[in-house]
Amino acid sequence: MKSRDNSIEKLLERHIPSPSQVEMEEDGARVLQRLCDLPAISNGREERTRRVISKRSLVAIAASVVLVALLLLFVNLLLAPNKAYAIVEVVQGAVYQVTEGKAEAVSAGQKIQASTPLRTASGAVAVLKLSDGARIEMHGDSELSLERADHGTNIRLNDGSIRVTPTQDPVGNLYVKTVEHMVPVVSALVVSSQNAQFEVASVRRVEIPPTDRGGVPVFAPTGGVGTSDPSRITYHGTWLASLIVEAFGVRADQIKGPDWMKSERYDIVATIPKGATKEDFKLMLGNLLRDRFHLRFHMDSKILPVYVLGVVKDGIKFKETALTPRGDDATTTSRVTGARDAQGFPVLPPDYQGSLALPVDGAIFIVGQGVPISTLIGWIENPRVDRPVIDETGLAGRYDYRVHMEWRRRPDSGDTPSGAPTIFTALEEQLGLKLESASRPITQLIIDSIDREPTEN
Amino acid sequence: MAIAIVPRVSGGSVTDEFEEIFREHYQLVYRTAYGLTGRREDAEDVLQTIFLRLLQRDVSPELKKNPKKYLYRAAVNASLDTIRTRKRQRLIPTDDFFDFPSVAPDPTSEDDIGRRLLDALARLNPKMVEVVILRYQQGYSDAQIAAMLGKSRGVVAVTLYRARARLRKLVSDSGGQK
Repeated sequence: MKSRDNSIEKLLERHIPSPSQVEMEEDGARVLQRLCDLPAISNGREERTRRVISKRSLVAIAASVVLVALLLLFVNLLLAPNKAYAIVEVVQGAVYQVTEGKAEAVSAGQKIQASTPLRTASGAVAVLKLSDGARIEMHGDSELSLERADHGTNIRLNDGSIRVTPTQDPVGNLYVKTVEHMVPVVSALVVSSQNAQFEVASVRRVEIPPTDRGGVPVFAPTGGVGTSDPSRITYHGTWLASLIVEAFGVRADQIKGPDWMKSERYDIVATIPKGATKEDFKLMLGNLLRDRFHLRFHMDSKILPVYVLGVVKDGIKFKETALTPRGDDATTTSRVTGARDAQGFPVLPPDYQGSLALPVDGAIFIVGQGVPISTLIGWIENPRVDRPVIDETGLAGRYDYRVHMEWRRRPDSGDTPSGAPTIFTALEEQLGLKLESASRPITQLIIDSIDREPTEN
Repeated sequence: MAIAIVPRVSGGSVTDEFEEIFREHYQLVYRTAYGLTGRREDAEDVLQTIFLRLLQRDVSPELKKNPKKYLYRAAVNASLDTIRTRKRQRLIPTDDFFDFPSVAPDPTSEDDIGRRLLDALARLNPKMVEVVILRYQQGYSDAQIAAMLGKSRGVVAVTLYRARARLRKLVSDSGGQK
């Protein structure tokens, strides 16, 4: 017994690593500097210092106004040059339009022409309705003008902040332009002017060694809004493309950028201000990409081959969930244990809402519980199939589903077939869904410039 | 035991008192985190997390009473959280670039024994981890550990004995420790 005890002691003495003095001092100095760079932090006894929003930060916020989803039907120009671009629906407080250098008060029902600056006074609110039904809510101390673009409308945000809610059936593309950026509006977005920056963010490029089989290890982020650790999010070995997907609501295959974006990996640890929502978080992440990697991009759209996900004639073979949807920002309390059932599917706690997949020997077992159909598309889309998947199922609820299918890391990976059904067969036979080839207009996020090395922490 | 090499950088919400605490204890926190996580990046993150929390919260009576013990415990707990988080991260991949290791590493290699030992450490009760790290990484004697953690020497010795026994079993179960 004594010798066995000695043996483990020797292991402990030999294998518990210690940092070098240089590492400790370098990292200690960096952390202390970061802490000292923090603006006033609430310690629970004082009200959090209200952040004064500079014009610069407003521009930054507006620039990261971001959104998601699908857009566009390639359409005609939104409106004829002389036609009104918007109608003022709501006016609260002092709202002005500036024509020929003169400010004139605006009232509800009034038409706003293209290129006419519209301003809100401090505390005022105005709601504009575009001809396709999209709405723009202007907050106080803001100024915008509307511009006709080649395939839609640009909202030029000169100052302040806005909330943009696109219509379900957009007539052309809708963009928000600021001094620095132009970003697409493809789903409702909320501009949060108070929480658009992480309190602290540590960013560094890291080397992630390949797996024993020479593959690419993947790590999901942990923490963040809606988790049990909402004040902190940690990405280990993430890709910039993945962050852009998360921040700007596009799919990875919509991003056109330098090849190194698919190989360089980064560790990011960010502290999220208390009370931030998921929308706030996306803005913060977008700002981090712009500030630390100097990301610049524009949007374009092309008609591309896609797969359309639809419902087979006999209908779906899975059910709407009985779970009460929790808010997107609600904290997940249930934990996944990693257990599998007799058929090999991951076992989810009864109140768990989310999806989980377990790859096993060239096949994958996917379980979704209380989730929208988009989560399934996330699993079956690139690189499991070689093109984007467009949801045309019309299924708008939240569902429970499970599917077992062939799993290849990439379409060209040459992995040995597992004998599991192909993705097409599995979707049809197990879920009553079909994947069909089609062509659709797809928006692309074209990266104009981005740095490989982030700026100093 | 002030650390002169870290430049003085007071500013923002950092007070002189806070900076003094940082200077006095950051090496203990960092070294502990490094020993448990085995990664410089994680050690830095643990260090930042712990002191950021200090900035954000009221100073607890425990911290006032024995800052070294308080910060050491916080370092152990935060490091264990980091390791557990890292393990969970492998469970639910969400990216486009999937792959999973399928070939087991050589269980007799030095690297693998070290990895299994750290994995086993992370599965111990935090109180066991506290004494193991102080003893085998930081080189404290039983008496010094007892003084720092406010325990008797007997309790420390028993905890160490049990921790070693548990580690031996965990390492052995995980792949062939002779």
